[in-house]
Amino acid sequence: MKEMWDISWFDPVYSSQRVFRQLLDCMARPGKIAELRGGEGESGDFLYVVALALTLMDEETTFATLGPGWEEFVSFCKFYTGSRPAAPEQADFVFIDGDRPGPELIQVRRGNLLFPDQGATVICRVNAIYPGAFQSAGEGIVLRLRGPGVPGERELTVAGLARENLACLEKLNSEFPLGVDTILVSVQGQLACIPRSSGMTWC
Amino acid sequence: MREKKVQSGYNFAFLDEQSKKEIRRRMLKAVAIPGYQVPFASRELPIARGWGTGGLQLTMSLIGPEDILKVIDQGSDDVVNAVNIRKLLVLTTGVRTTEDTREATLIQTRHRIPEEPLEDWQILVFQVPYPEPLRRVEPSEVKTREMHAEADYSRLWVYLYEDIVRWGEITIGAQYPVMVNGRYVMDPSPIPRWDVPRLNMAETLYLFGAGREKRIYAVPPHTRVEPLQFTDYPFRVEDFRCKQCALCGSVDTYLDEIIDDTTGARRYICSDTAYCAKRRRLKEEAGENA
Repeated sequence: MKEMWDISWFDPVYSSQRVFRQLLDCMARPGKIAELRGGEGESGDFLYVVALALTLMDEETTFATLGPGWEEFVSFCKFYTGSRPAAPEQADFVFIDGDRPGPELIQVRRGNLLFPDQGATVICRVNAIYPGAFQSAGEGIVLRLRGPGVPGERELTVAGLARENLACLEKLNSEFPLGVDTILVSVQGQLACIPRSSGMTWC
Repeated sequence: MREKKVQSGYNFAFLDEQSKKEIRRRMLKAVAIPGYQVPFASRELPIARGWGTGGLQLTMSLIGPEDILKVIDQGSDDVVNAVNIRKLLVLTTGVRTTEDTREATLIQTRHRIPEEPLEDWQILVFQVPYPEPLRRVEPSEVKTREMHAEADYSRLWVYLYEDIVRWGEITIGAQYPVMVNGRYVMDPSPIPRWDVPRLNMAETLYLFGAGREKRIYAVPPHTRVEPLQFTDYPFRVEDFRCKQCALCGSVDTYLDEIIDDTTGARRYICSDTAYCAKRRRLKEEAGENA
């Protein structure tokens, strides 16, 4: 496993461009899954969360982390991206562990009707993401998404995502165009997005 | 088509990384709120504002070394605006360019959607002069933003109604206002009416950049895009019945009217020049084989 603070693998120009294009593709096609993992097939608790932070964050942005275990990541972000920590209700980016119910999530910024784009981006770390309904392991949640970017309905299975957090996201996004846009990222490097425009059911 | 050495001394794709980051964050928000205009800090570029700088900044923030780029202006690859934008991008990225719509991964366009169908691995970037569809009824940005917030489009509907009262039909040609995802009225940039139905439930991601007006907006694929219309005065596209392209003979493409300066004769030719040339080439090949 790579150390979090070793970012020699991440090229500020070309890696961020590649990650961004995958993010944009997934945001435009909610529920579509992209692989951030490069040729080396690395996985790591923070590896791909770090890749997203390096792609999106700079000194003009603020971020918050919910729950324990993010201390090192916070100092990493401050140093390498220049982004500043903020309270969850003020942050542009909010990091959360999918499997740990985070009631603070409900306070996250949703923007206002004049500027709904000021709603936060939630980056949610999960164990794994699979395309389609794939529940053989018994631990995954099957998500069904509808709305812009989805022809009909798209299913995906997410392991390591608490129902409480999904309920929170649904509540945050109940008054479109207000809401938050969620990026799911797994420790193995899979990526999927749930923009606020998506309708969502799960089982 | 051409491969050139990248000009050293500039960052890849000209813009500095921090500018790209900001534009990328705005693009993600624009995609998440289809049709909503996201403000952004438009950067200075080596071309003047109002000459495609919005689209150019999106392209610069999107483009990677693997991309195959196409740039068009009113359907043509060879017009000065398209040529200059393409030159700047090639100079600072070294990417491969093409005129073939079916080959390009990234297409920057001024005022047209290419005739050939676009697919899910392609992105179309529009250059937008006036992003605000309500500007024709309300000069104040503060007020139009409020109107969007409240989804209050009554004054635009009255404008369209008055147009019908005065002229017998809605007279807006290019830049026809559309409703995106049933929520935001959006200016699709000055594309002809012909192209408007192509925005609806498309396979491709459409991104819009207005550099002078500092706005970014988007239509994701598979998103409802409906032209504003009345049941008794439905939206219609330009009428090219009994007309065909003088070069390739096409009867199902958007045509430009060319008036001969000396004789005054009218001719029609395809606005999408690359598609027209491709059709002629295919015709010739078919003729040779016959």
